[in-house]
Amino acid sequence: MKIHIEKTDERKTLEFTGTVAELLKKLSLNPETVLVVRENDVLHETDALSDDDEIRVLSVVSGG
Amino acid sequence: MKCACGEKVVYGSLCKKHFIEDVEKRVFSTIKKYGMILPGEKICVAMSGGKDSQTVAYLVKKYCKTIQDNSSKNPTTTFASASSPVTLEQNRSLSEGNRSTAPDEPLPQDNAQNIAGRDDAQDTPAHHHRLAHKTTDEPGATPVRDNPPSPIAHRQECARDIGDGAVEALAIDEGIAGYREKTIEDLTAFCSKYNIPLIIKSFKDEMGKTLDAILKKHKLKPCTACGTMRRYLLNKYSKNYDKIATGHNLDDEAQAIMMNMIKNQQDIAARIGPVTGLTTHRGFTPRIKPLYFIKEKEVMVYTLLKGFTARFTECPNAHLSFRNDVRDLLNDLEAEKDGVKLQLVSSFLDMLPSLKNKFKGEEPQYCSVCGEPSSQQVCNACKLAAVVGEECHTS
Repeated sequence: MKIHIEKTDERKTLEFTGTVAELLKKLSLNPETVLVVRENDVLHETDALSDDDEIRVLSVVSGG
Repeated sequence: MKCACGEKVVYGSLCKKHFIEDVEKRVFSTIKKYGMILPGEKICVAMSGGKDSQTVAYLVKKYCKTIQDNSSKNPTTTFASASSPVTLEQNRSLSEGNRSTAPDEPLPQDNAQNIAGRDDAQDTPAHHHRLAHKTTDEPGATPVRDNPPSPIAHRQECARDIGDGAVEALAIDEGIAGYREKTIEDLTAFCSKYNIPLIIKSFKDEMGKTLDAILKKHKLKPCTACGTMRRYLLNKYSKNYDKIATGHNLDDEAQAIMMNMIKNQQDIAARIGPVTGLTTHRGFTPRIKPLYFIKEKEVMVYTLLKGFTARFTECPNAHLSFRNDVRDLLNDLEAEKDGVKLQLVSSFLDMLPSLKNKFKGEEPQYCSVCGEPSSQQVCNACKLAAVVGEECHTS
């Protein structure tokens, strides 16, 4: 799975199969602070991810 | 996971369609509950170009348009009854300080040892009369005219006033390299797309220096300096409007409440809430926060689902603020127990009347340097200008 964490412009490739919530836990990201998007689709925490996916992790915080 | 309608969920238990409807319903309900927008009022939306300001501008405009359409279909229906459970008379009463949860002061947006938080408005009889005049169902309620129209004609005129021409945008370019130019690019495109007139004012024009240049030369807390000047400029350039709508969301408010508690800033806490400044100074534009009960993450989901082009960039100075620590704390708590932010804000709103009562006796002042509303003899913007060594307030 290809992951782009936009806040830090970090790009990772992971072997992962599971839900969005499980991925965020694996990445140590608080689900309150990020949103996961796949091909412009907003993903729910229960949505399943597979190794073929390319996802973006967006930071919810935008202000100062 | 499926929504009750059978579609795939995008947030909570709702699909795209029902999530959008839910957010809009809650925002419009907040506007109505607190009487944020009244017939004929001209609204200035404080915009950065980010997700919160795009969302609030879009929804305020949509709200106004809905009222206009409803009024056009039924011109004998008043705005108050058509759009809101808050009648004009009730709102006037709320303006006079009788609302259960209304604050009358803006919130310092950042850590506030905060020269920033203490220079906003209090009530004055002069402004109170101006506001009361505006909120009546009398001719002067809308822009001044000599010959009062009939009540029905007035309502129809309100319908025109509150439509497309009722919402404009004001942006402040602080001069933060690599951040603000991007959001202003998005903002310009957004306003063009949704036909919202846009005014941009900058620190550089006002103070002769960008925020970056100021911080390079002076040892100031970025968010304090920035917040001081932003609030000052927003108020200064919104005097031709009835209200300023800001994109403050539930997270922002929960953070502000927590920050004020930790710093024991009860006087500042007494001024915050969904509507600030309804009983306020002459020269101070009341502020409304239609996204008050919408979580920051919900705003972001809404923005994405609506297809707004807002780059989700974070201010490079954000990590330096006390607010950042409080934000992290609240997000950790929220992740553990859903609803913590809402409960914190709800608890605060319950205690706000007594807090307001405690500080209601403070006399309003005006800055001896620039004449703007201030809780001190010299406002924080002028103090900052003195520190920076530049003249500001060039109007």
